[in-house]
Amino acid sequence: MSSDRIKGPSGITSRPPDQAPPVSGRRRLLQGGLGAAPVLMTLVSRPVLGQTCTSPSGFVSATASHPGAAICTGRTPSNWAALANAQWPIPQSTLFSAQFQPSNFGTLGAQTLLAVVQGNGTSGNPTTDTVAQAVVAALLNAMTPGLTPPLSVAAVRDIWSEYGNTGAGTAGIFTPTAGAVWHWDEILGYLRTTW
Amino acid sequence: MSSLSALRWRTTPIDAIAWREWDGEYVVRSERSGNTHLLGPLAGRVLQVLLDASSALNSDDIAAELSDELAATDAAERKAAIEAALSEFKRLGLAEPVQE
Amino acid sequence: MIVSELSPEELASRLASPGLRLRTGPVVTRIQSRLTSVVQGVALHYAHYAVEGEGSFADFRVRVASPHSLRRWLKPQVYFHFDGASPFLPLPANQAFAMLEWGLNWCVSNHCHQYLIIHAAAVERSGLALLLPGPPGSGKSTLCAGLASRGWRLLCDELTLLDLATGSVVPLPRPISLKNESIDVIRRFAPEARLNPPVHDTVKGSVAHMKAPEQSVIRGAEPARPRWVVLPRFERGATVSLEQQSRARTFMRLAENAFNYDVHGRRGFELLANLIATSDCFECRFSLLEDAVEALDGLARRT
Repeated sequence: MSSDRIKGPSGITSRPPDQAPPVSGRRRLLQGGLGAAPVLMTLVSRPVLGQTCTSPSGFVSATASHPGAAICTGRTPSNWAALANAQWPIPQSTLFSAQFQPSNFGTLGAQTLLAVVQGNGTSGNPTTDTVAQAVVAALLNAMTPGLTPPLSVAAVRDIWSEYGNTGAGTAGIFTPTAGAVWHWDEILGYLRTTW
Repeated sequence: MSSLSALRWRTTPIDAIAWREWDGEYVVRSERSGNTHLLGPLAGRVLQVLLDASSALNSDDIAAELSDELAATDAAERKAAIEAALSEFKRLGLAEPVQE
Repeated sequence: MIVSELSPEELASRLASPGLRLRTGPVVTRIQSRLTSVVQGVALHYAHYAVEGEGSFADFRVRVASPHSLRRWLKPQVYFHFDGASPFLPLPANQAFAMLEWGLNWCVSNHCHQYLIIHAAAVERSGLALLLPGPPGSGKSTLCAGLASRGWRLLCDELTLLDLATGSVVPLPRPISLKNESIDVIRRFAPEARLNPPVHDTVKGSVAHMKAPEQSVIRGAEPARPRWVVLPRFERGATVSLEQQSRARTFMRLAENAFNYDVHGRRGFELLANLIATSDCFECRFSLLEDAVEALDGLARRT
């Protein structure tokens, strides 16, 4: 990207905008050459569901690509799996189907939240089990007073609901904003940033 | 890549694409994906040609529209560059080949 | 009524309970704290800011406190509470005022979606705003503090609020955060500026805050029209330069640095596009603050 410079009396270089030379159509199109990449940059839309988490004061150290990242005190699936029943916001024996619909994937619905968050899902599809494990952790975070996870209980249930209703596994999707489509890997990627 | 030249292209719904141009560079936002892109001069013009067209266009049509601006270039290179842009547009959801 | 009209006892008492309703730009925050460093920080930095009445609406309710446990004696820490919850992990107690400032930024950037919010400093001259978007280390805050000490009105240091309807910058004057070498640079450049004692060993190194100039607070309700976007680039030993930048690339830079660009969708795109269309865009590379301030003064005079 060329930038014409002129030297002012104080040695500061700048080009006053009203003196910018007109660029002809032909020269403009050939700028960078025909071989230049068509798309130079893409700013991916970030879901408006909530914020991604960083370390304390991470807010102030946020990089340009993640300004305003929140600081979260959520727990990972293994954190939840390691806690005693008394430390859960709802009983560990609560069935998956009592919190999430649809749940008719293998015998997933009949499993306890504890089993699912431990990674022992029985949907018959390992991808579905992994997503289920993540949403259980996210749900428990949303339900725990004192934690301020970025997702509400309703938001977590919505993620599973759409994913499940569109087939779960590797086919299931979630649309955080109009036109953006997430599959299981993007759902997991996002949920992992919330704890 | 050569199969692209037979395809006819249109942008994904016109009112779903917002764009602005300054000094030959374009910023484009797709309502569908929510993504925002910075396009180089050629890609920007290709998108503009597609947005202005009343029917789907193939890469030769597009090259014809841009013939004045690209007069000094090699025809094969020109076509390749246009098709590279179209291919990117497809990946990003900005344009799609029309089913004939 | 402004904070300095409260006696030290009244200020401490109000901060302890029921909280001080402080107005910063368009935002009213109810702040509670019993910590001495926070009370002193508020007395210094917010002396000229308006205090709203007890029954008035507060946009946010925050509290900076030490934990209720033995831990408070062993390893003094502070928490930032927002509406009763703690979004942050605790920090060492001596960082309490900094934590308040970071917490107030968090409140605005995550909730004030009636604006398009950009991670940028902004200053004003003759009704026109100069935006300084920049990641940490770019020299944004140093340059902002320098300009604010040389006749430019401080609009904000961290969070530039853009009015969705008009595209104007809505001021949010707050203390300017400085770190490491910038602290001494500003002390030399603006000896009259009020800085609280630095805290060391924070995640960002040493941090101090410079009090917002009184005029910026008094004129806190006057918006400004964006006119220049300058990307600061501090580079040790560099000769100062002001290089014109591509508008399209500057647009992308602003969008990347906007906290809630996606919340506003197409409207956000149009707002930033209009801003870029009517602004001149530059990169300012500098080593000496005086040179950078002179270059930007020159820019304002020419336009």
